[in-house]
Amino acid sequence: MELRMIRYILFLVMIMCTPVSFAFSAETNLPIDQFGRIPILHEGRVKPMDSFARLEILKFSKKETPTGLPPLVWLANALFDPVRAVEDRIFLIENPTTRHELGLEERQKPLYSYIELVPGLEKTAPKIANFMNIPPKDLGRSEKDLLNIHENALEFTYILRSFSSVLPLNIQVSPEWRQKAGLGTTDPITFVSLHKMNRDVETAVKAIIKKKGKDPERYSAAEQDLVTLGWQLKTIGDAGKNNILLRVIPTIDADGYASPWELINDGKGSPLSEQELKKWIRLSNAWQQQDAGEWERVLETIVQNNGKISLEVLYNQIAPFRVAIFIFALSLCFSVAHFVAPQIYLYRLSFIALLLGILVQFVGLAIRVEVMARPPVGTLYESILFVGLIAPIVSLLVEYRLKNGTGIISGAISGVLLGILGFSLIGEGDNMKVLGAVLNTRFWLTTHVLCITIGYGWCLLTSVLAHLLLLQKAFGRSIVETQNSLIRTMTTHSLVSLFFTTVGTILGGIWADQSWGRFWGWDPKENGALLIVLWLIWLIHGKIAGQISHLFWICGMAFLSVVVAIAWVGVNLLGVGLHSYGFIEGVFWGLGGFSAAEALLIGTMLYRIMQSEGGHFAR
Amino acid sequence: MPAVQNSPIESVPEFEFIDINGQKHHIRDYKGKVMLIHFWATWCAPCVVEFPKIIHLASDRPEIVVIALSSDISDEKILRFLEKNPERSSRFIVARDVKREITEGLFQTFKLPETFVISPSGLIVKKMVGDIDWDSKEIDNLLSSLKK
Repeated sequence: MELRMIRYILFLVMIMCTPVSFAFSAETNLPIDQFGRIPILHEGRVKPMDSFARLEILKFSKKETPTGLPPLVWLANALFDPVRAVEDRIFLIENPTTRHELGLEERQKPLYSYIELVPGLEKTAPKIANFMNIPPKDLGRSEKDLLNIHENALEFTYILRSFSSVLPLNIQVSPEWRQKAGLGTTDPITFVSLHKMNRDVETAVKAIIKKKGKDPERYSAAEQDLVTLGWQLKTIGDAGKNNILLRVIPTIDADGYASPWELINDGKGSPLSEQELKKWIRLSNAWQQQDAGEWERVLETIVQNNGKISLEVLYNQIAPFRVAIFIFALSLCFSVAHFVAPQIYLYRLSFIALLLGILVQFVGLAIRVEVMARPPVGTLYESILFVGLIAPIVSLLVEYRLKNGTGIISGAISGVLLGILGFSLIGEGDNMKVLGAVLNTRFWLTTHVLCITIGYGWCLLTSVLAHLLLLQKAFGRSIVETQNSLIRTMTTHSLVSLFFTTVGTILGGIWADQSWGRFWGWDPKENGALLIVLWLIWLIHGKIAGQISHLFWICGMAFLSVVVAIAWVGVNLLGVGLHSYGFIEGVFWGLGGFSAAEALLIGTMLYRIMQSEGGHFAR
Repeated sequence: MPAVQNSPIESVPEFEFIDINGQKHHIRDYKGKVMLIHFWATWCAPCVVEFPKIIHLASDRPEIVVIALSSDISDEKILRFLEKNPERSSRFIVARDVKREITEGLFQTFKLPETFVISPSGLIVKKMVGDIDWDSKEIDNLLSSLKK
């Protein structure tokens, strides 16, 4: 029996560990790690290039390694070798209608390169112009997908053209204009080097058109070359307009960093930025020539020692929440094994794994707090991470009281389910975004939001306990030593849940009064919070007053998971109200499926209990 | 009012230039004074609007030296333009940046007009983009704070 159990445990450990990936590839000879530590101003905060690379590739392909290359290698290729990068298959197009509209061939993995997309993008551009005039909520799924692929392709071109102002161009310039630009015969031709004579070129082109008209066939060879040069400069300059994605050049202005094109278009250049741009040109040359020595030398001058940047890179590499899910899953497996065949070492292993999972989850959240300099509950995703810590911690209190593994298994279930929920709602990646003005207040984030999310966590743990109790009764297995002690624990936890959700809701009203000028506005999010409070009050009072049976009370507590899911996630689907920062899409069927599955599960267990005990338990 | 940007500490790079009268200058010559390195051109409309105001500022504030580097393609255009603004202080130096190496190369200035404010110790304390209201309280406070 023990040998079988050990084999089972080893098998579990192997399964759990396989998907944990700390991907670092050797597709390039250059050490890429330091490149990931370059600071970049993106989405309102300075972050490491490593985070930027991961977010961008996730946005395009919903995967960090669609080409098999680590995100940083992909990004370096796109920045420094754009001609090759346009052939990387990075755009995921799942919708067959969108693929058809873009004229793309069907393939097993619907990943396409930028080059493959271009004809379809050109063909569908007029449609996109029309979509821009339609409110997003009125667009259909295929229309949204088409718009999304256009936006992603545009963003990719911003990356490709980030350094097109300073990298050598493959264009012809006559010796006369080379001289005017102060370029020697071997000097590389760049947009910036030609920019200084841009006005002269424009004047000369206008003079040619005025004299000979717009038909190029009437021009001399030299005039044709000049007109072509003018057109090329204009095209490159136009393409650089609005290119503010890669803000990596330190500036002397208040923003701190600018993209290479912002130096030209928005007057953000200075002697400092000139020096920094030169470093990037050297970096680009080193990448193209795969010169490791030069690459490292340049990076040493760009990368500065910054604790937060290093911490965020570490966070990206260890992916603590992914690791935590696996550890919680391991704890769950040991717990299940312990209930099937009770062994003290299984109990201890499950307990240690739960503690380890909590520790990893805590470390992940602590890093986020340090990096973002605010409480880790500003977005729906973050609140799930936080509840994913609270529920397992609460489970330790349950275990402290019951000492029979019930707390451990409920904590492990909460950790796994909340972890999976978090990953399913991560959307375009864990961008640790800067919060909107209404949310960006530390006081209210640490009071209202923490309070209400602690309440969610407590509710979910109470719901898991209720499930375990129903499961035990329905299938006649003694999971807990005494039902009464579990019921007493649940009663305590339901009261604590009520306390936190009520206080959190009231604090939310005070915050709303301060921010929006009213305490209560029947906003969907407010109604959701009230729904949990009313649900708990109804069940607790019903039980105390003897108006509802124990069995009904337990079923109600089990169904609390659905009530919390609707209040927490569901109301965000409505897309109305002042809590616009929490709006999400695309989880309707997931939420519906969860609610239906819970109703079915609880209903089935209730039916079995009533069949087997004839309502005895209810009394 | 265009953006007035705060800057961290950054030293002004060394460079030399020949003014519109053919006299050679080095940036070092003006160390110890508040310097305004002003990038402009006669073909740039906001520059033309701003130019008299900056001439007036230099006349009013003896602690200031203005180096006005033009991106024009010929001296004649500058001289013709200056004829319309004859009353300039000797601390208002006009020069043509012949190949725009100082303007675009050294100072990464692509939008005109732009002005860098340099402290007496040679640090860039502000960069201003566009036509600035040189009579504003903000500018007065800034320049007064830089006075030794």
